[in-house]
Amino acid sequence: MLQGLSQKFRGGCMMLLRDDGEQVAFLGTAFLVDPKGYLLTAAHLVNDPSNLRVAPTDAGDGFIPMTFNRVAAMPAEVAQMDATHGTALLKIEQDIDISVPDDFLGRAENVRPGASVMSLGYSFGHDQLHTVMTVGGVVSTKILTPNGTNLILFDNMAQDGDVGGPLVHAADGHIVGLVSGRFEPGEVVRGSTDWDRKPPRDTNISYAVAIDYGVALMEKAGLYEPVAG
Amino acid sequence: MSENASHPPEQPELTPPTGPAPWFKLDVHPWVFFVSAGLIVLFVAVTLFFESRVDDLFNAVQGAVSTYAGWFFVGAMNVILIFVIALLIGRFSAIRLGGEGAKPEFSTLAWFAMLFSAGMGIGLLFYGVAEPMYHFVASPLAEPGTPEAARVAMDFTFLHWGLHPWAIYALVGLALAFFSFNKGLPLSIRAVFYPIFGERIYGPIGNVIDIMATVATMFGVATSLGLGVQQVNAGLNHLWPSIPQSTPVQIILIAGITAIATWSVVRGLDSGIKFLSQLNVVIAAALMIFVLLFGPTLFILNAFVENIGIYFQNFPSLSTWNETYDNTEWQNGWTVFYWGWWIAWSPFVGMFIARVSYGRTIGEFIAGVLIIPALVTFLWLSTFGGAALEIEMFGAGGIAKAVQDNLPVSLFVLLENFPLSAVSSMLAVVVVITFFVTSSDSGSLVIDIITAGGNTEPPKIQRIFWAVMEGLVASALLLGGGLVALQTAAISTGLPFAIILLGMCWALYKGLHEYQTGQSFSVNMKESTVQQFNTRATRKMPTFGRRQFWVGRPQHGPAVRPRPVTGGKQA
Repeated sequence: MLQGLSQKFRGGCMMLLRDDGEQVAFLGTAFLVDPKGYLLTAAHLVNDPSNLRVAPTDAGDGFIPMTFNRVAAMPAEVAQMDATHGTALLKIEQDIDISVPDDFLGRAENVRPGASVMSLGYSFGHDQLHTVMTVGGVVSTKILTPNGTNLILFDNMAQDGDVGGPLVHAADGHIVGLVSGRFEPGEVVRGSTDWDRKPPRDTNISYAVAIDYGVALMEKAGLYEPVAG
Repeated sequence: MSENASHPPEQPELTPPTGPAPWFKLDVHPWVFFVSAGLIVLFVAVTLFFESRVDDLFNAVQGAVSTYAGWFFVGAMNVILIFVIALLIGRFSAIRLGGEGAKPEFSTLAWFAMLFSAGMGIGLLFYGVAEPMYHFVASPLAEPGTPEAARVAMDFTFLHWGLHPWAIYALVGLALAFFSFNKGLPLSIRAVFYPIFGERIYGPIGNVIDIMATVATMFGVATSLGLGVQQVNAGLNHLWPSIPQSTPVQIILIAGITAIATWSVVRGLDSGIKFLSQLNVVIAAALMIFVLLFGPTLFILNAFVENIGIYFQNFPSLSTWNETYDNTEWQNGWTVFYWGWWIAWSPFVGMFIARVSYGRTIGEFIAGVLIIPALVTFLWLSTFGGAALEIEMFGAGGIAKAVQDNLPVSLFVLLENFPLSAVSSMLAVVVVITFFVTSSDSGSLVIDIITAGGNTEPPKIQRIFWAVMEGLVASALLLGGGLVALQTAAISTGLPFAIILLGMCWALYKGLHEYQTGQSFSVNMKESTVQQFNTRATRKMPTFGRRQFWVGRPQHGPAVRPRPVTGGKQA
């Protein structure tokens, strides 16, 4: 089942880059959500919205080169941003043919602890490994953060390059989250005065924000039809 | 409509709407609307002028279909049932019709009332009593009149009215709902063939499919109306001998039923059809409870449990039985006839069920269209058939004779065996009429939608046109003869449609598989038009701004605002 899902979603992932005129630096992952050229990614990757570009790579199931010296990268702009919930909607500023499946965006409420999930991203894009990686795991828990964000914690070790990629619910085949980073309990207790032991960093637990925030940005951008009646 | 109700997204139409005022606005698919109307008039005229020849022709066709293709019907029905059960328990069961987040348009009770009223209709009322009696006195698998014959009689009746017909409806309804609500195709029979014909469904092939569905639905509903009023008239005459059994009375009955159905279909699904369907189910339930309480209660309850046990025990053998080693033709007149009838009826019922099922998951849909209606039907058959068998075997008798003498009267003869028969008979007449109206209005609505090119809210003037047309066709055939001939013709269409249904299983599986996993993203860009860059390793990854989750002010209540229902369709 994961093989089919992976094949379905790999083609939707793109490298998020920033150009300096001649070279591009890797920022993270973004994924297509609309045939008009919209992608979702993590908001903190595009805090600086200048010179953003996205580049698709070969998403086939064969053996593909691990790195490219040159890539074709399309300009992209930030169309909507929700910094509180760590989500941004990008728009490709180039006329190209894009198709997306009919049904791939789910709801975070549909995934429960213990469910199999799959994340996709350019895990080591910052080290010039330009290939999408598929990683499996299970949902560890779902939490509501102090700033009121719904997060899905899952047990795989998201690499820096995975940030901004999709988290897919394996059983129903929908994207339920947007990978945001590695879960670091130290961040949670930061500032606490009665805490004398710092938890270890680099847990093998990662977190994704609920996809619903991304869908809300899409609605804001007018990508969904208004409801009749 | 329930409080949480949402609306299905407006379906794409095959023709743009025209005209200013709602009442005079026409929204027709020109080919489907006018060719269907022309064909219906032509068929009626030919039948009226050449009734005996047409009758002979259609009987010969129906006979040949039953004799040579009976095995195919039996096999196809079982394949479809297995397919539908596999969908219920398989990986597609969580897919929601209308896309993730779609909310059902009607409450579960209203939904069930509508689909049940459209699916079974008046036949259940008369044959609930009559069919077990027929099999009891002329059993193909037991000595007539024995307890074994009674068991076999109920078993056959369960077979003919149980899981198989509802599986057919579930398949057609699900295919239509899925391709319309999830794939954005028009709510029309042609949509189901999209995986096979692709964009060509919008051309002549699709027109032919929709015209066939329209004509078959019209003749199915109109001939049932015409034949049914004869039964109602016979029943009324039995109750009140001052009402004669005559054509004028039957024409008045058709006019009355058509008038109520027209009102219902003009009011629309939300009020007219929903209201009448709920009323129908409530009154029918009242009648059933009446018979259950005032009839042989213990016998009926025992029979209900035992009949279900026998049904499942004999299910594999009875549902595949073909009379191969018996050298008889009993099955052609019963099982094969029923299979042809349900299949011929399925475009209409399937399309109606699809229309009202927006927002249900496939699992809910199949449970609601296959399992629950079959159980309710079993309870109904056990009540009426069981009461009739009890009277025939251990009581005053006379039901079997009434069935053979005059089938519609047998229901009233049964009720005369219980107290307060005047009340229950009156209740039965009302149920007969409401069943009629609910079949008629839902049939009209289906024709309205198809001939409006898939518009789920067709203009009112077109609704009136087709509802009145139904009454006129039924009246013309009643006056001039040919009701049975056209009904036979409608059932004969079951054979080609059975082949189509098997194709539909494949198309639906393919569509669901692609929907869930098969489709993928694609980006086609000419690399020459896109700027090229050298790549380099990134020394510092962006992390600023990702700690806000842990330092913000706590909030209470749901953190994610509810997403409005969009039906999954993107602008």
